Amino acid sequence: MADFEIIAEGTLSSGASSISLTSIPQTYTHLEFQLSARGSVASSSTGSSNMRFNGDSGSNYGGVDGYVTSGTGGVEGYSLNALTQTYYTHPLALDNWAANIQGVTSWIIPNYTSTSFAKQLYRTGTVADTNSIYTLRFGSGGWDNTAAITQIDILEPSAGTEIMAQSSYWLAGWA
Amino acid sequence: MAVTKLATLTPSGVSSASFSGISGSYDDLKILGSAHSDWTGSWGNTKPYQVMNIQFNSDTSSVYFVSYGYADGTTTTGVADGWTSYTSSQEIAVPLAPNAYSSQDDFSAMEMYIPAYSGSRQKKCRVQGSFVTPYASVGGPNPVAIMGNGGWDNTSAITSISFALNYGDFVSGTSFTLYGISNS
Repeated sequence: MADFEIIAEGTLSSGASSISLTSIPQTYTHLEFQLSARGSVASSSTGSSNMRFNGDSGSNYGGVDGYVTSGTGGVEGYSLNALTQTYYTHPLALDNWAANIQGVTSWIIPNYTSTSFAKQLYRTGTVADTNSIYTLRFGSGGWDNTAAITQIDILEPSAGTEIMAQSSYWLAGWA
Repeated sequence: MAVTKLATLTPSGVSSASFSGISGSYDDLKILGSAHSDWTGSWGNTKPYQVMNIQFNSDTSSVYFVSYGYADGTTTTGVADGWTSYTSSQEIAVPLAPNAYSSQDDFSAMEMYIPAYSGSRQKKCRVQGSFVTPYASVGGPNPVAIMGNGGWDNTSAITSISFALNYGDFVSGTSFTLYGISNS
């Protein structure tokens, strides 16, 4: 096993309501993920896609997020156990924005195979449109569960919408 | 890009841990880690988490600097954002170790990247991380995220990196993994 390996990668050929990464090998120490994506939502605000682990839809998630959006800074946050999915994990470009623009996010999950500790992720993300919509976000995600992470689901931006075609991703393991 | 895992630290019951004897044969260094403190009190600014102090080559003189943006809090307990900056410090200090409280299983997530660590320039690094705890139910700290940079005003090659808590000891489950990155 190399000390850094791509575990899964792909580019969506058509829109999808979610991206599921299943049967994640338990042979690495840390995970890193990158998503370049666009959401099928029409809005003048930045879109967002969140995550769940191991199919858990319970109120076991939380997160805090610092941001600069179109020149204004701020912060939003939720304690662990306040959410049913991670918070503002992937900034997305949206369907009514300039064509061909995608949001980009990178995150890490240390010690994802631990069965003793709750899981934490750290991520940075950014997206910029041509009409003065731009954002840089950094923040956390927590999942209050001590199970090893074997599945990650990247969720639709909002109910009934999709992660659009040509969105791409990769998941890597660090030894 | 080629990655080589160099070493892992798993400190427990001690207040500091170090990578030493770091080879200069890579281009960059990367550290992924997770930390928790057993301290039950506060530190200087009353925040219920500990500062983790990072030093290179055991240099304790005032030649470090750090600046980071932060997000702190929840929509129910109040939120804060801002910018913290230190110069002429004795370490790169980042708030990435949640304190002890009734739930001991909530650690931070941390990433550090040091380009050109063996070159002859002043050394810089990117350091960032976060933690989320169930504050309301068990009295843990607010969720916190930081994104920042640090520096060491020294042109020596980095051969050791230490992590030390302001107060308390690291608890079991804390870990730091060091990787060497080759760009060719």
